[in-house]
Amino acid sequence: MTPDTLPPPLGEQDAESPLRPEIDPQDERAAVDPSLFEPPAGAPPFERTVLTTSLHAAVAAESRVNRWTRWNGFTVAAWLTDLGDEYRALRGAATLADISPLIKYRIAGRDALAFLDRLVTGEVAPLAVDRAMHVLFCEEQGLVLGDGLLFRLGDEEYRLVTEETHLAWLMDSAIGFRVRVEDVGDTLAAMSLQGPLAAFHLSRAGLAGIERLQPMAGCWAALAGIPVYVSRTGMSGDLGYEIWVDPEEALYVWRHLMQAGAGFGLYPSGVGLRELARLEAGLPRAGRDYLGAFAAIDPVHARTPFELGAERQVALVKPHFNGRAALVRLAAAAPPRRLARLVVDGLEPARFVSVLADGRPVGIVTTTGFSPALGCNLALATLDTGALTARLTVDAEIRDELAVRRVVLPARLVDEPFWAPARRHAVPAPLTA
Amino acid sequence: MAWGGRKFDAIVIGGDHNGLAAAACLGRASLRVLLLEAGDRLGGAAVTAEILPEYEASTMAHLVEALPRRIERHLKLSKHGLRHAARDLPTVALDRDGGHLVLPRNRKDVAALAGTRPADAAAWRVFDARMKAHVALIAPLLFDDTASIQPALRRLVWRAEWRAAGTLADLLHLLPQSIGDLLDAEFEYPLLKGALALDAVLGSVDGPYAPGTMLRYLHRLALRGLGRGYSIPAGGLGAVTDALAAAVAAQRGEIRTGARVSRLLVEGGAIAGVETADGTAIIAPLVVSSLGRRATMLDLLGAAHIETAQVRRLPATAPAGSVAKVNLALDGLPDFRGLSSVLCGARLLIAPSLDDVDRAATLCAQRDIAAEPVMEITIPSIADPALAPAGHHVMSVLLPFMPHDIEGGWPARSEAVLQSVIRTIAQYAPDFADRVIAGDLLTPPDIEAKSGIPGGGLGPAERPCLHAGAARQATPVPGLWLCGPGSHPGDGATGLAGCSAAAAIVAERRAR
Amino acid sequence: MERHDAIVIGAGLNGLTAAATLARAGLGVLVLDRNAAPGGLSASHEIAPGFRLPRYLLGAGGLPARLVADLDLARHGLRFVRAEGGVTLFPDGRHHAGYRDGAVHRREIARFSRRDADAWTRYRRDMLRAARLLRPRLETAAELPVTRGFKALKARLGLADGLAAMEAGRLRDTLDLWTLSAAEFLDTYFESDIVKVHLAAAAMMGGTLGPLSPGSAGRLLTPWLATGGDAAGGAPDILLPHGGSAALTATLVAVIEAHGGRLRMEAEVTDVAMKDRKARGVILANGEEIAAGAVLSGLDLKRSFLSLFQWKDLPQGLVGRVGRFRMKGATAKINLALDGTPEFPALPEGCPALAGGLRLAGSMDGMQRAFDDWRAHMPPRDPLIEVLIPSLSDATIAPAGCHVLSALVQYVPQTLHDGAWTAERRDALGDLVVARLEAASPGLAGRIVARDVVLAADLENEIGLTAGDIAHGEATLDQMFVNRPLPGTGGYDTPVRNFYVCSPSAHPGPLMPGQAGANAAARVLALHRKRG
Repeated sequence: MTPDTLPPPLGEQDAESPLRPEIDPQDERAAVDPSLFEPPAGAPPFERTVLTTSLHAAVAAESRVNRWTRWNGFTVAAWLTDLGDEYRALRGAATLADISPLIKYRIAGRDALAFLDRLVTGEVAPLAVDRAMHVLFCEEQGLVLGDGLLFRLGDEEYRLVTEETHLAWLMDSAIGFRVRVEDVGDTLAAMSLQGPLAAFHLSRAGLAGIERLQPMAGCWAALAGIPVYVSRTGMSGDLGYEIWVDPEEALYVWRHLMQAGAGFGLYPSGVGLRELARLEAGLPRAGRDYLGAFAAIDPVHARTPFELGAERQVALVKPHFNGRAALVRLAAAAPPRRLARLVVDGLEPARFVSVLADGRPVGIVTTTGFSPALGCNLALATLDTGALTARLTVDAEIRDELAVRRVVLPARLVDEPFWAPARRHAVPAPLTA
Repeated sequence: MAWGGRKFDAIVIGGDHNGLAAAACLGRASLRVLLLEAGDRLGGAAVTAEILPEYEASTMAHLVEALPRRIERHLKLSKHGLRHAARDLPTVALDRDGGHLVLPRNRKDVAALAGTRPADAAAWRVFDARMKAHVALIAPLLFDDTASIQPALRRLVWRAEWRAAGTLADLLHLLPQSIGDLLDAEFEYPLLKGALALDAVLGSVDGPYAPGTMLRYLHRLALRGLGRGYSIPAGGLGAVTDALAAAVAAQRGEIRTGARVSRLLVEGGAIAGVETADGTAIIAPLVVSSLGRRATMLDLLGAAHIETAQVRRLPATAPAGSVAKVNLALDGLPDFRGLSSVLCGARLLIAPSLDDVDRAATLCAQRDIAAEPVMEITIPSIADPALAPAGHHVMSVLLPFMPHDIEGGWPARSEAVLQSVIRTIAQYAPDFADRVIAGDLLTPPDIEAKSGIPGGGLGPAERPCLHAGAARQATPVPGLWLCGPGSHPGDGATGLAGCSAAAAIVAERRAR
Repeated sequence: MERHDAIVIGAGLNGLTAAATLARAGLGVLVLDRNAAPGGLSASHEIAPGFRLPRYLLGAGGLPARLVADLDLARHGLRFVRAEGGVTLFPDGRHHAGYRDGAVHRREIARFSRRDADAWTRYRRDMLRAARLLRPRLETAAELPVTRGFKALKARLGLADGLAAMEAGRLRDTLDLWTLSAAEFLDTYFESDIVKVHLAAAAMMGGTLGPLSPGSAGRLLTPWLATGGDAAGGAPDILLPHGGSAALTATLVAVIEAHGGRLRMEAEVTDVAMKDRKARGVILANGEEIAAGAVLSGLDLKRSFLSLFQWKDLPQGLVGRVGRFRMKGATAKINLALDGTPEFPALPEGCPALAGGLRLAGSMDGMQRAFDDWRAHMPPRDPLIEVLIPSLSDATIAPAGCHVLSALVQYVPQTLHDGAWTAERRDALGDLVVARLEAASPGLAGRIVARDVVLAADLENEIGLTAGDIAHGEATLDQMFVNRPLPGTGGYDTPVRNFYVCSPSAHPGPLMPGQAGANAAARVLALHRKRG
């Protein structure tokens, strides 16, 4: 990403943007020489094992509680202060999170469109430059391998962002196409700014006119004088943006955003909040709510797009694409299982064991969480289609010190996402500080 | 893109023996067929050409091995000019000391073997009966083109039941075995073992001790059972090509040479026709390709029309090795020590022992060649004197286990290989070296370039598949069929794959 | 005359497993062995004062998890450690290790190819699927009834239906696994030679196929069959008995004795006593005869029939069929006593994968050339070596600060094409292996106190294992499943009534250690109950 090849940044705010903040090493809260724990590139495991993202220093400096977790091999914050506080910020103001461990592929070449059209189930041709779409890709039996967000960056250049790695499949699929598939995980950092005040924070940080950016659209811009790609995307089910930037400069952008948001409720957040927000938005995640077909040892645990409720992303009108023949067959019958959203009564956070219909187990719960805003337990579950109309209960475990209490709680199916405010699609209201 | 005018029911891509056979068979089924050949001549690996002026030989393939009588009659090949100069050729394993072995084909041959090697003759009777029983079991599978394998397997069990209770168990034991281990267990006679081993693996890169070579052997026996043994067509293998081309023409099929297909046209997920290199689109609902699987699916059809998993399963571009060919012009019949002049015209094998065949395979895997290579020899001018001036002869030598990329490169090695072939034959026929007037070596890359078939198409490159329905003629794209190397039921210059594909197409049309 | 319900000949792993299974079911069992101590191939020997290790065989592979549970070995004091999946060290100093944890293992692969790190997911799925499909078939006999009659026919038709019922893709994958070469099979998953050689090298140890031989792909499955740890996502781990095979042997003996079974050492069986063409007991070298309802042989197939019977007592043709069973030795072992700790500077410090074995390998072609040398009956010029240092986890088997090292050397022929294994040639092989070890661990050669070269020929001469084949018969598809031990059998009954083969010469062979013994015992028990 060299600046001379970049399109002109959005707006004319270059002149007014604050200068790149000087970083005083003394200011680092985690003032540890990273070479003591971060492995050099290509080092074998057991040389040193803490893999960190380019934003780690900034996140570590913000962490008050030292809660870490692993995401795609990287050590990232589970949460930084308090999950409740972060949640309230997300739903009331805005949060900023490091999402660099996402898997990012650059797909470029003369046949990029033809390659993608064969790869994914949806129609890629109508996707305009600087737009994004959610895509699913299947293997030959119509089982989902993964899903992700596909950005069109240029006439023959795309970026695919996924939860899990798919490089072998993408490279095998590229045989016979004039296309180059690269893993750009190392050369692209990403952060996610989500919440009702997200647009406000971005414009305060220097991106005037950001409110004109449509949902699922992106543009090149400059933050703190650093070229970034901003897209109106995210997993929160709310207004939000994701910022894609060169890892060398990611720290500056993060600090710039945090400084600009100081005093206006901008919180840094971690993976825990991302999971909770995703659950409230009703979005299934690969590896958690379904297994990619190559990971499912027992085929029962792999899913077709129809079982995931993603009918609208399967364009059977398209000519051949991977899995089409099988999907045509599968579309003719009702899927035997279906991903469902459950609201479970009860005020205590609980762990769900199984879903029952009239006392008979009918499915498995894959993601659960207690939604502070809705004041109830939410779950994503895969249920037998026949049970969707029955009266459902959930077998739950509630921890009480060392003991585990088992309770049966009534559950209710919800068609719409739990959290879907109108503003996620609307033009954000101009706010001034 | 211009429209090609006339409409055809089917287009056959590739004018080699399989393409021609497919075109002729489809023509017989009243389809209007267009055959497109990229080169300027037909025949693929089945051609006759001059070594020297007045000395003609089958350049690449030199024997007709399993051209079923059924197909010969069906296509009326004899009406179209195919004459066999010699039929049902015996196979002779040459012995350095003149004690040559005729591979038994009938009781008389076995009795002759019993005279010198009673134990091996007895073992042969048992072996022969056992092989015949298994061939009878699996041969029907080769032409069973029902899509489901279940009824076929059930029938196999019933057939085995009808024979003897242990037959099925014996088949399960035999199929994964190596021919070398079996021969070591059954026979003692090195010459017999070497010849049988060479028979099983000729053309492949598997050595005789590679597990699964018994499957190859049984498959080959089953195919051979369809024809009447080996034959030498009058005028060389080119005569087969000419007869097939005449058969195509007789069915109002059209043949265009110099017409390279650049891509296949697909509409609504099915084949719509082809586009040639000059931009002409030719419309047809059926396309049969005798090119390699990879070339057809990836280069002509395009990966966009098939699943990633199918692309991944396409065979690699070229096998590690295949056959080479030496064609020699001789100023007289070489005197093979102890070989009667009648048997001189037979199919001669130089494979003194199982170990020699095995070593050839091992060296091939190491990209090298034995100092005394194993080989299959014919002198077609004995049966067909028109091939050479009176009293003179042509000799055709097929060399298996020749690496595709030889250590040091073919240009540097080919002269030495040619000399080693002559030297080896001279050990059996002392006057041989003086008889050679001219000769040349066609290396595996040469054969590939000349025939236009990856791997040369002279040997069964891929592992055979026993069940037609589970085999690989049909492709995932409706209307596109394969009949090239590696397609069912295997290869060798038989045209069988072409006929088999045509039969499957006709069966499918009838079902609709 | 002394009488037992069952006699087991040979106190090796399978003999002891069979005896333990029978004893636990309440049968009176006697185990006879001609050696002074039980353990068979894996019995411990002192190679130098204070240095003890199994002289003949020290495999990295452990017992199947299910067998451990069935025999209740934990209650009799056996403890297990889970070892990670082994390391391959390449001549250029690079290494590749197998780790249990999926994320760690993928990161390890990504050092060589990011694409392959991802391809691992599919490879693991396919291996585990194949293992799950196969495991139940290995835990029972694989019989294909060859008799006439309706029931047998139904079974045969069932086999055909079972094959046909497999979904087409699955059937093809299964056939691929048993017919392709390891190299071809791995090519359909991985691009990095390092990754492929690492997987192939582990699979080729102890076998008689090269990585380019058709059918060798099936061996890749072996580590996935024994592992119980499917969940972690990485390389299959290995269940190793704590204290090594000595502890395992001792525990099995304890199980047998706790259930009333007996072991008699230094009691060589010379003959199976026959009556009415049925086995009715055994005759010892001292002439003593012991009667038994069932005789189980833990010896290899050839030794079982060709040396324990008068050939005239055997059914017609059996001697020939047994003679055609192929047994070929391809593995030698070099035991070293070291007066220091061997260091491997190329490996990360504390690499846990070392416990699963360190393999010294170069390339696929190199391994195949070593295999070609073996087939030509030549000593290997570039052998494949697997190093285990059991004293790293068990300090009692070597003096303080010292270690014992076992190097399995792959593709060493039993006989040479040009003469015998003379002392010089033994030494040459030993020197070659030590030189390779020295390259991997500088300074190792100077620490050697004692060296012991064990060839396939020694296994045959010293413990009577035919051809020194540690797999008890080539494990190619024509000698596996229904074809093992003899075509059309696949079970444990033999043409001699009351005589059973419980060594790896019988199904499932070397695929699962100890399983043949347990399966044979299960068959004897079923018959025992039927006959009351």
